Amino acid sequence: MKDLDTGTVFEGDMGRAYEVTGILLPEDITRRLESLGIFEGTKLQILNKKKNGAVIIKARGARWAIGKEFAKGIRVREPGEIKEQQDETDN
Amino acid sequence: MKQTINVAFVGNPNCGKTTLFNAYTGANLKVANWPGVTVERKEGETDYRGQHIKLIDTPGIYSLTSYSIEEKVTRQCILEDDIDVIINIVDASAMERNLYLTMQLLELGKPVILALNMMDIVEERGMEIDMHRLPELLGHIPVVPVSARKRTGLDVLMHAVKHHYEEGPAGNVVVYRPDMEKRIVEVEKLLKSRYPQIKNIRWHAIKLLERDDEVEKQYSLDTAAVIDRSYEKDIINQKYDYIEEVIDECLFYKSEKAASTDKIDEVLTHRLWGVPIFLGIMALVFFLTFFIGDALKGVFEIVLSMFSDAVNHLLVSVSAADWLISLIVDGIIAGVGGILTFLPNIFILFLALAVLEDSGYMARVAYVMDKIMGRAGLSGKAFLPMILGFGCTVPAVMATRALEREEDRKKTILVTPFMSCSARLPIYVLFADMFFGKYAMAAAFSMYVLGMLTAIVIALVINRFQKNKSSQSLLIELPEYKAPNARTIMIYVWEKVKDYLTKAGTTIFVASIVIWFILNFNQHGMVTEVSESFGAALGRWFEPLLAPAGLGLWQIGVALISGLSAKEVVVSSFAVLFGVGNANSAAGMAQIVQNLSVYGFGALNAYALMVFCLLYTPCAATIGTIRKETHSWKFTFMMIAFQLLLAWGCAVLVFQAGSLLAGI
Repeated sequence: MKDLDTGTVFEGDMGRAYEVTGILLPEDITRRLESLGIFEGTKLQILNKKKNGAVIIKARGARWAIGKEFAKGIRVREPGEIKEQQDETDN
Repeated sequence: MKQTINVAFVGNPNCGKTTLFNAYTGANLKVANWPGVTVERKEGETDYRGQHIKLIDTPGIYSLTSYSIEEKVTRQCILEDDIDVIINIVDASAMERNLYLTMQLLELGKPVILALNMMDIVEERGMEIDMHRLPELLGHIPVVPVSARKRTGLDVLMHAVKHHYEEGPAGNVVVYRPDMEKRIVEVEKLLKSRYPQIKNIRWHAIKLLERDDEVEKQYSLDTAAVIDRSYEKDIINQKYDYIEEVIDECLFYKSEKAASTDKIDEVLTHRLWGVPIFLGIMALVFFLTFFIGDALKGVFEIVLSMFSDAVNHLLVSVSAADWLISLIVDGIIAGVGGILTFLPNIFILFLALAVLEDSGYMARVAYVMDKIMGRAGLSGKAFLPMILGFGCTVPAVMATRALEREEDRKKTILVTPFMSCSARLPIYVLFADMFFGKYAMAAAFSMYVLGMLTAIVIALVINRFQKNKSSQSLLIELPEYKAPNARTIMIYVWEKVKDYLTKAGTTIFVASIVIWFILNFNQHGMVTEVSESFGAALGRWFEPLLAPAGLGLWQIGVALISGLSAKEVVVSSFAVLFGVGNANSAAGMAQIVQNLSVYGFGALNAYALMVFCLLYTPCAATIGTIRKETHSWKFTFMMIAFQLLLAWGCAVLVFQAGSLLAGI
């Protein structure tokens, strides 16, 4: 996900940590992800991914295998950007 | 003291809930590492210091919404039933996610006891939990550390049940934003005035704020003035905010030590090696099934042969009628007993599947197979019922309930029977041993590979012609790897062995008697030549149809038809047909081979027969289950027709192509 301000879990790099900035998926899927604790602000780590395929993430202490379509709908950014953003909101 | 305290076990999938339940009841439960298998609740009983306690196991769920069957079952159970106490089992090693369900349970206002499971993993990772602060933050409910696997803390947990079945959490644990709290209070008032009988009033009010379909339907209320939109997102967010506070306060040295699970996953879910490793593991499972199973077979053979001789001797000594001796020795003992000698193979197969399931590997298969399944228009999750199909097609078809979309479900139901179930194992073992000598294991294993390939190819073909191709993407939790628990595995395997024995005592018993009858009688009475029997006449109708597949013998026609009751019956039929006491013994096999070779039946014919048995309709129980799950006789009959046609087509292809090659 180099040179991108934000991207999706699908584009993320293996082994890196991200923070969810939004979920662009059908309502029922978004709700399910939310009840699993995956929504805006959730920190996650990409543990494993297949080329053009599913991704394994770790969020809130649990590991999830997420299919390609869902992974494309979870928008994330890198933690560095999060901190700056948070400082702004704190101020 | 209450006469019986009703306790519901509620928790996330993979939190060790069923293992804990089994620790108390030793009940015959299916333990599965993915949702969709334990969809019906199970009950058991225990006594603690004179107190009778009824335990109810519920399916693993992540939240109390009503999006999935599991959630609906659990919600209904704890809301409507006479549940006194909820034992919320929490995986201490993944507390953050587990506590979300806890927060919802606490809102019910019912007595909740938190069973903190997997504390050993927490300690191993060098994490510490403040056991003093945790209950304080959870409304002062009892928090009991337990280990379901090591069976520790079990008495303390029941002690808590005995003493806390009347006390709910103190106050509201999660307090929402003031504007939302105001709305909750207003909805509570509306609910109270219209439905004064409602218990758990706060929970219902919160659910209305979330615009929960079921609660809205059940309690029609004009809330437009109070609820201007769905507050579900806000409620979830604020619950997780509170959970973060709890974690901050109570969990120390979080993830200090990297979990070994991640290291194992680097290998087992590797993007290149994942699939070959899975195939290797399955090959090992079947190798063990054949190798160890066959090694243990001898003991069973000796016992069966001794039993058969003893019964024969006894019947002769009491001057029993010939037909009765024939029915018992040639019909029942040959039919049922022959099947029992395959018990070691079945035992090893289920033992291996249980170890894979309990260790946490099975869920990884969904990830590993996701891409291949994706090409067939299914998610990797659809592969899980298919693996269950290696054990038995009936629960496998039922497990497709875990798939959200109806089209995905039907497609998976259609292909699952091609996964070779344990009932087909005796056929492969017998025919591979009889005709393939040192290549027996390879011949038998090829059936499993062929079954898997057929399933995937059929799904691919359907996907090609399907109009609506969008499939549900994968979303599945990958549990921590753990050393398999002996008790959990033994309960699982015993359940399967019991099923097998029950089937031998019922379906196969009856089928053996029926087969004996149709092979020993015709319209004029008992026959001396089997070729004059009803069975022979019936089988002869199928001879021309089966001939292109190299199976044009009336005996095979009879065996295949009787195999519709249960696949093992194909083997019992051969035993009864050729008058063999034990088809699975060296002598029995030699006798069958000799009988068949008279008709020119050789290895190629045997392979065509194995292919036919792999692909045609598994059994009556499967047909019933498919009808029940799809609610459609049309679908069920079309599926049977398809399976028969496919089995016939492939067997013909194998035999004709093989004959051509042999000719060259």
